[in-house]
Amino acid sequence: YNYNQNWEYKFQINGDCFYADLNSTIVAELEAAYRWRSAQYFITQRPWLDLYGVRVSPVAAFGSVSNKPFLDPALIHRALPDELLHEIFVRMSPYHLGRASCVCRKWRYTIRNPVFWRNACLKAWQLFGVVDNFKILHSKYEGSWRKMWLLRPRLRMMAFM
Amino acid sequence: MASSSSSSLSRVVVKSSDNNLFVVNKKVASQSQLLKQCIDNMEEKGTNDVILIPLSNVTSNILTLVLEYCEKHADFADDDNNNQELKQWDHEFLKKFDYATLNSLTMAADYMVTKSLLNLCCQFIADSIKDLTVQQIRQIFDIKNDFTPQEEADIKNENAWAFR
Repeated sequence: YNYNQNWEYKFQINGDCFYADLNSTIVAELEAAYRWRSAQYFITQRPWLDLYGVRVSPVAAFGSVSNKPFLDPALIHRALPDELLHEIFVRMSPYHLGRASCVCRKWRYTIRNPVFWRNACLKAWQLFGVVDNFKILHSKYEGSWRKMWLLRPRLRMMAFM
Repeated sequence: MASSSSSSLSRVVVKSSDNNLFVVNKKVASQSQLLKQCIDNMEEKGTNDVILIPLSNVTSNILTLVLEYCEKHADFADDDNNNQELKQWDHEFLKKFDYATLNSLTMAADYMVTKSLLNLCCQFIADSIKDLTVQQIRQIFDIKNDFTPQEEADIKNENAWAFR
């Protein structure tokens, strides 16, 4: 009973007057607590066992109610991987991109890619030069090319139509 | 090409995913970077056998089209790339296909690393999207409108500059 000795020692520091009556009441309570505490040392902790027997069903695709695999009806989405969709959008003008982003969520998030807006900005303000455009980007538009495209005044060139 | 003269054979065999064999001239095959790499690697090893290249991702009807394109462009490879006749041919070539074929062709071009064909296909699809309204794009490409009405109104508003 190593703990008992520790306990007595502790209370001896605190003061003799409390020693006798506290020892008798508290020790009985602490004995149970001490067992739990020391139990840590010989019960290996396996937190992953908490998941044992719990059935985790896979998360259904966004927007679907059933567990069936989500099948996009659009051929272009099924046939072309995202990077090829990106390749197609790279070849479109910013005005067409703005319109295309209204088509569906997938297109909208693909078109949020700053690459498109960087290309658009560098082309629209190419007279400023790349370095100056980068400086303006960071000083005025918080590093967002899309913001720059939307907010910076520009002449609309027919080449962009 | 210096490397092809050292090798005994001027043709390679390409196998499509449905196990059809295509005998292809090396000059035509080298339009695709994938095939060119395979041929170069084999020749470095100094093989005298017929080189067989299996393409597990390309079906034979798509491979036929890719090879048709490669053949045409191999003929013009020595001229400069901005040949008007070639451009005309490219356009006519793509115009015949429906979207399913065009998508598969794009995939095949990407897989076989035929840069000019990939570029051509993507440009063609991009051009066909350009002149359409949002409604028409959804109709033609069979894309479901997955925005809520509120979201759609917001997005239309956010992108109003593009419709002017």
